[in-house]
Parts: sequence; structure tokens; C-alpha cells
Amino acid sequence: MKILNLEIKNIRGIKTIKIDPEGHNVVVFGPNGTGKSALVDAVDFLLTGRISRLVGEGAKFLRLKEHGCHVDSRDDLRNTVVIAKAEVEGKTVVLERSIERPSSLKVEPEQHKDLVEGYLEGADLGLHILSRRDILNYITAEAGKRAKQVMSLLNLMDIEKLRSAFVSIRNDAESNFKYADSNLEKAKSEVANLLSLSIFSEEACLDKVNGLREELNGSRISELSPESIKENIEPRPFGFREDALTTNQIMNTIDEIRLIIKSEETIKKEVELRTLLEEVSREAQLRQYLLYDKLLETGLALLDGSNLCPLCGKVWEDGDFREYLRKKKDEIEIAKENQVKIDEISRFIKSKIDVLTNDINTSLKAHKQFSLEVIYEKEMKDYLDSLTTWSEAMVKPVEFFEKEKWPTRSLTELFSSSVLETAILDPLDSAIDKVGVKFSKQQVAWDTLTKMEDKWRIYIESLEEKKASEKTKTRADLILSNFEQARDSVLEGIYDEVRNNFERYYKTLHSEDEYSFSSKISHEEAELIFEVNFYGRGMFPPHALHSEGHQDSMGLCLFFALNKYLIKDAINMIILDDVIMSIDRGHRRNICALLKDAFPDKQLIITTHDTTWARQLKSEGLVTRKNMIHFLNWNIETGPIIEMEKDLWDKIKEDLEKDDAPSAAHKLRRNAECFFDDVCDFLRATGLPYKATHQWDLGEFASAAISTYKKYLRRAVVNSKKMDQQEKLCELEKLEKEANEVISRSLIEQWAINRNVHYDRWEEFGKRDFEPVVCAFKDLFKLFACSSCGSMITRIDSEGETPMSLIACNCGKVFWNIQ
Amino acid sequence: MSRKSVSELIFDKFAEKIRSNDLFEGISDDLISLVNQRASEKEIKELLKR
Repeated sequence: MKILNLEIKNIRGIKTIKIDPEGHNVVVFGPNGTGKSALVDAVDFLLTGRISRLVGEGAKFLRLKEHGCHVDSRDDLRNTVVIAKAEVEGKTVVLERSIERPSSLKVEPEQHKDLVEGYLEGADLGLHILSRRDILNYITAEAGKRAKQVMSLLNLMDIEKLRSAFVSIRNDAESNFKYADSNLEKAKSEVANLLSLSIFSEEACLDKVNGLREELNGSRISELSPESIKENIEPRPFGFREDALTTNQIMNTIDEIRLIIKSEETIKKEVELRTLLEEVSREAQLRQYLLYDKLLETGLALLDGSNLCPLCGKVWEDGDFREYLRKKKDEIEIAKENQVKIDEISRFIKSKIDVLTNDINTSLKAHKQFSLEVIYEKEMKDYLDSLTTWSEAMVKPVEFFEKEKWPTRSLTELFSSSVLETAILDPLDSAIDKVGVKFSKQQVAWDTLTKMEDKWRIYIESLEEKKASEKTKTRADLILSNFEQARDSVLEGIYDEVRNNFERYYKTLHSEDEYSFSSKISHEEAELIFEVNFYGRGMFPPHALHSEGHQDSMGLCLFFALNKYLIKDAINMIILDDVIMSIDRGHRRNICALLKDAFPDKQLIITTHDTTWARQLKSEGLVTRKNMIHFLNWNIETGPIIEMEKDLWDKIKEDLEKDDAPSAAHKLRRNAECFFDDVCDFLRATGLPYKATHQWDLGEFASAAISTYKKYLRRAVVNSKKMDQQEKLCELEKLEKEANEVISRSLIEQWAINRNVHYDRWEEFGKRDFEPVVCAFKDLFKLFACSSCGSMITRIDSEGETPMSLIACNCGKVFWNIQ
Repeated sequence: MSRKSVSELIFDKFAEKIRSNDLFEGISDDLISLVNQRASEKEIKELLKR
């Protein structure tokens, strides 16, 4: 999409403006505060329905309807509108958007609305405009903020949101698995306690059940199930209340409690877990490395011993690359092992804690069953609370440890506490001794098998639940890791493309001193790391060591690189809003070359307060005089006062028609001085006398420019002769002859615009006297520009195996070999 | 204009990985569809239990 003409009414500082770029580049120049940026805002508004300046950080209280229109139009938004005739895929359309209805874009003919809106999706990213503020976002922003900026450009907020959801799903699945694992351990413990088994196993359970069945004259069964436990056994009444605990159950529960709290294994595991957690917290980066595991693996496999990175193709300069990758891989292995160990140990401790808690609750129930007095009630409650905290901490040990939510009482302290013995276990021991054996063996067998039916059902369900939760956990793990791998692989590709273009553009701008420039763009968690090489001394943040001018160049190049990747041909427009501030003249020329080379099909809208830069854009052929819009002044009633850049010769003609030779001479001298200053720059003219002030007058500029021009033209003639290029020779000899005549004529007339000639002298000068002077200079100016494309002729030196020196124009019509 | 967005590229790659993993057999299409629709965490969790 390119703008053919544009009409702006009552937008920001503009009352009414009409311009006709006809799809070509536009340069808007003039002092600060003349309304140049309002034109940018208007185009932004037309394309997106918003004004970037009024959104984002620092724009909290700014509203489009209040602050997007001209201040005098706030109460009547009907005539706050931007209208443009544009060309989209060869079709001419008229676009119109008003502040009154910003979300509604009117497109005529309506049948092209979808086509236009498709193109405007690119503009929605905001990557068609670069302002000074954006450069700061790219270059000096913290990694986190830059990441947000780039992620929003890449539309990655959505991806990040989804990743967070996957993390949450994975964490939930992990917790569920730990709960299921612990429930299974509890179920096993209850079965083992019921059957008086020291260690749970399905075979041991089956043996015990068959033993009990024998007491009741039942046959052996080969498989345990709730249905088979009492299969074919004659029913008898239940000796206990069904919900009461058997003596064996109570005794076994007491034994199990003692076993757990006296076990050194759990205490050892606690110490081991703490050490691992301290290590993991200290080396938070280790967890990050896990993400690059596959990448390092592939990298190692692809290394060919040349120390070349297989990914970026650059030489690794900090020692042996293979050794470096191996070290990183080892660190990852350690991180992985630690993570696995933490999971295993925390699961072990959780299951022990949960079994212990369950046993304590069973014992408290037994207390009630024996009608024992409850003592140390508060201490027991605190004890159980501490166990609950431990159980919860073991679900997310890293999080609890890092967020300082770790249980205050260690397991060593809890297990060595006498409260369990005093409050629960000792009274229960005495109660059991007193009760003695009340029931027959057969009754105990029947009661145990009856309870076993329920306990076994719970065990089977817990087993199924653990299996299911393990499968879900594995799936959730895979979803997250696959998603992160997919994201990293796509982003690495994108960052690689952006980085390559960024480096290429930057090297184009700073070819003289940054030919070995390199950079790094990578994603690390929520940060976008952007580092640049500082003259071979290592990688640094872009705003750390480079000059302001270099930083501006980097911002510009990163913008171009992102624009190239994201926008491609979606919207053929780039708006540069006063961004070339700290870049010097030589590098600005390189920017022109870059724009012509990298974005030949884009329509550029460039605003600047710098008249020299505006003029340079014209002389470099990026913009024609017709599309140079001079913002002269601004006031609140009229908005910007603008002037389309007029042709110098037309202005001089106007003066002469009024018989005002002094004004014409003044204009000619002033413009000629600037003109020959540029020519000297473009031709890299020699012969300017040394001056400490670095200020030269017209005579000195013109003399250096003309002598350099003649020297190059002569050299081109000689080279054509040498190379036997007859046609070129004829052309150049003809040009040389004409040039000599033009130059002689201009030298004769040069006195007429000399500033040292007394002003009174002009009074004797009339239109007829001054016309030959104008004619001589007009012809002289023409020598330094291409008659076809209008760009200034420029000296180009190329290095390499066959160095070349040329004088050429933008279109290639002028092409002199001056080697 | 026909170029895929970064999100789409990531989803394509993700879908490819999910489809090629046996552990997602029988639920891969539903899972990809839920992710593409940005379904709730709850719906995805439910599916993973299947």
C-alpha cells in the first residue's frame, strides 16, 4: 500500500493539510514545534485507528477523542478526519477515518475493504513507524521490557499466556501425582497394619488372606479382589462394630508410627533434600540450562573440530568450543539429576509423613475407642499441623524453599519429640494390655477379612489413581516441553533472521570501522537478551559502550530488521519520525544507501528538524523536490504553515521578473555554496585548503568540486581509451568538451555573485544582466547530477580482490571508471 | 500476506510433535484443537486424563 494523496483535517496540531506524494517518498522538514509529527500521527491514525503517541507508558490520561483531534475540535469531532487515496495491489482506493468513529475505516470502492484491511494488519503491529522513543525501547530498555516490546510485536503475549497455562497444568499434574502416590502409600500401610505385615506386597497380602481364610475353612484363592476375599466362606456376625479398629490394627499402627519416627532414612533424606534445594537455589541458571539440553546435544554432534559454531557459523574465540559445550552439557546433567533427586526424595518424605499422619489419626481414633483421656491436646494439634506443612511442602519443595515457606520444625525435631509417646502411644499400649484377647481366632479372621474388603478396594482404587495421574503427569510434562521446544526453535529461527539482517544493516552503516561487528539476540525466560560486540572486546549491552550515534544506528537497524521480518510487503510504508539525531553526515549517506538497497519498494515518510539531512535525502535521490514539504511555522489557529519546496531556478526567475537581481544573486550564492559543499562531499573532492575552522566559502568549494570533477572525467576518458570502449569514449569526450565550456562560462560569471562585490553594484544590475549568470550556474549544476534520475553523481570505492573506483548516479546512467 | 504468524508457526511445530507421540494417541487431535481454540486449563486437564 502506498499513499497517492493525503488530506488531514483537524488532527492533533493540524487544521488542514493536503499533500500529493503520488506513491513516492516524502520528506517533511522544519523547526521543532511546526507540526511535523502531527502529520505522522495522522497517517498512523488512518492506518491503525489509534495514535501510537497516545497509548502505552506515560500516556495513561491521554484519550484519542480528547487529544487526537485539534484542540479546537474537541466538541465537534465530525470534521476530524484523515482521507487518503492509496494504491493497493494496483488498485486505487480511498480510505477515510475520523476521530469520531476511530474503529471504522471507510474504504471506497467498498469491494476492496477486505484487501485493504488485510494490508493494515501489518500496521497494527506498529512496525511502520519509528520514533525516537522506540529507539530507546529497543536499545536502552531493560531486557525484560525489551522482551515485552518484541513479544508484543511478534504477537507472543498469547504464546506466553498459553505457556503459563501449560506450566500450571504441569504443576497441577505433578501435585496430583504426588497426592496419588501418597494415598497409595497410605492404603498400603493400612492393609499392612490390618494384616500385620512388616512390608507390604501383594503376594504377602494374598498369603495372609489365605491364612485367615483357612481359619474359617475357606479354600485358597489365587487372586485378591474385594469380591474374592470372603468368597465361599460361611458368613458369621461381625465381632466389632464395623467401623471399630481391631486390636491388631491398633498394635500395628503403633508399631508403624514407632518405625517411622525412629527410622534414620527419613532424617537422612531430609538433610539430603535441603542440600539439593540450597544448590538449586544458588544455581538458578542451572534450571535455565535444561531448556537448551537438546540444542547442546545437537551442537556437540555437529561440531567438526574447527571451533565453528554449527548454528551461527562463527568462530568460537574463547578457547575450545567442544570443551565449552561439554561443560555446559555436564552442568545440565547435574541440574537434571538434582531435579530428579528432589522429586524422588520429596515424594518419599511426603509418603512417610502422610502415612505417619494417617497412623496418628488412627491412633487418636483408637484412643476414643478405648475411652482414653486426651492429653497434650494443643501439643498434638501443633504436631499434626507441622506434619501437614511438611506434606504440603513436599508437593512443591523448590517453591516452598525459595519463597521461605519451609516448615519451621525439622523432621529430626518432630521425630525426636516425646509428645507422641506420652500422649498417644504409651496410653494405647497400656489399654491393649488391659483389654487382652477378647475374641476367638475365627472371629478375628472374619472381622479382619471383612475390613480387608474395604481396605483392598481403597488400595486398588489408589493404585489406579496413581497410574492415571502418572500418565497425566507425563503428558503434561510433554506438552510443556514440546511447546517450549516448538517456541524456542521458531523463535531461534526468527531471531537468527532478524539478527542477520540487523548485523548486515549495521555493517552497511558503519562499514569503515565495524566490519567484524556481531550481535546476539536470544530469549531467556521472560527476557530478550540483546548484546553487541564492542570492537572484538566482547559482548555488551548496546548502550553500554557504543556512542550515541552508534546506538541510534543500532535502533534504526533493529527496527529495519524487525520491519523486514514482520511486515515484509504487508504494508509498503516506513515512517521515520525525527530519528536521525546523533548520526553524522557520512553515516546518514550510508542510511540513504541502506534504504535504497534494503527497502527499494517502500514508501518512506521521513520527518526531520534538520534541513541539511532533508537536503541530503534529496541529493541522494531518495526524494524528489516535489515531495519535500517545508513546515515553516505553526500557530494554533492555522496549524502548520507549509511550503512545498520550490525549484531554485523558479525562485530566481520570480526575483528576476520583479527585476530584483540582488535577491536572485543572494539566493544563487547561498544555494551554490550548499550545492558545492555537497558535491565536494559526494566526489570526495581534494584541493580544499586546510582551515582550522573547517569553514570554506563558495569559491573554495566550487574550485575543489570543479577540479575534482575534471580530474575524474579525464581519468574516465583515459580508462575508456585503454579498455577500447569506443562508445563510452565518444560519450565521455563529448561530455568533457561540453563540461569545459560550461565551466569556463561559469568561472567568467562567478564574480557576479561574489559576496565581496559592493551591494550598490547590484543596483546597476538588471534582469538582462543577471540572466547569463543564472544560465551559466544552471548548466554548471547540471554537470554534477544525472540527467535521467536527478541524483547527484557520487564517488564509489569498492574493496575486495579487484578494487574499483567509480563515479555513478543512482540509476546507473552515469558510470565512469576512475580506477 | 499469506505468511503465517509467529504464533501459527509455533502451533504447527507443537502440533507436529504432539501427533508424533504415542502417549497422545486418541487425544492428539482434540488436544491440538483445544489449544488452538485457547480452551480453558480445566478443559485441557480433563482431556489429559482420558
